[in-house]
Amino acid sequence: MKKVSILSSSLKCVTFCLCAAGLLLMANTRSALAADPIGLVKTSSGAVNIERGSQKLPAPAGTKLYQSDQVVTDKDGAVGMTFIDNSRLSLGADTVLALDKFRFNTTTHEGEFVSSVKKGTLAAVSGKIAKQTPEAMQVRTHSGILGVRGTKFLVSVKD
Amino acid sequence: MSLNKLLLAGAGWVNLAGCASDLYVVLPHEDGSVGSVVVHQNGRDTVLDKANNAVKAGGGTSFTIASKDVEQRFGKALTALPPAAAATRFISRRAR
Repeated sequence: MKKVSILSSSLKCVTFCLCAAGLLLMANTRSALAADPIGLVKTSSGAVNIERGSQKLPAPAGTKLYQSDQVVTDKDGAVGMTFIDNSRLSLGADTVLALDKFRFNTTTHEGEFVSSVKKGTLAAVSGKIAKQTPEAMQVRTHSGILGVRGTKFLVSVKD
Repeated sequence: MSLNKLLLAGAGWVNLAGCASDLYVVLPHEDGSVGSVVVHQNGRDTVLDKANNAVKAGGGTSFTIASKDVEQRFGKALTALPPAAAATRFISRRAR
């Protein structure tokens, strides 16, 4: 009887440890996903910078993009970017674009892509997020919200 | 050309000539197909689903923007837009 009790306690202990390890692993995976790049600068000309928190970084071709980055072009700048859902975005001169929210499930293609044009010009071709869920890709401006249902589009915002 | 068409064309020209306000435009894909976007402004939705359909800030009637005007206003951004193959290459590399 005592043997069974010890065995049961041991089993409970092992189960608890496994659950704890699993939760820890899930938490780590989640944060790793949040820290993954969401896109890449493909072309960059003139002065192009990324504002990431308090940092202001130059953005030549090959620069990785993360959620919450703000991409800024100067009067002579232009930048082309690709994102992991296959979306393509580019900015003309004197433009500020904030990459507000980005999440993408590579298996189901579900996700959300919200960006804001503060000023300047944006050209874009939507990708798998908008194809899977119409209007899950949004571009916000101070005058309105553009919901994308899968297409190529342009936005121009006066400062 | 009917008076209505003349007025619409005039309104489009004024919209563009103003150029001071925000502007939303839908373009055809490389294969000629056109998707759509919906612009939500001041509680009003405007669907743009034809090539070069545009609407400016404040809502109002959509109009057709001339390709030369698209080029004039968005030329630099359009030139910087990566080709479709670039996005596919990025995804393939990330998956490895």
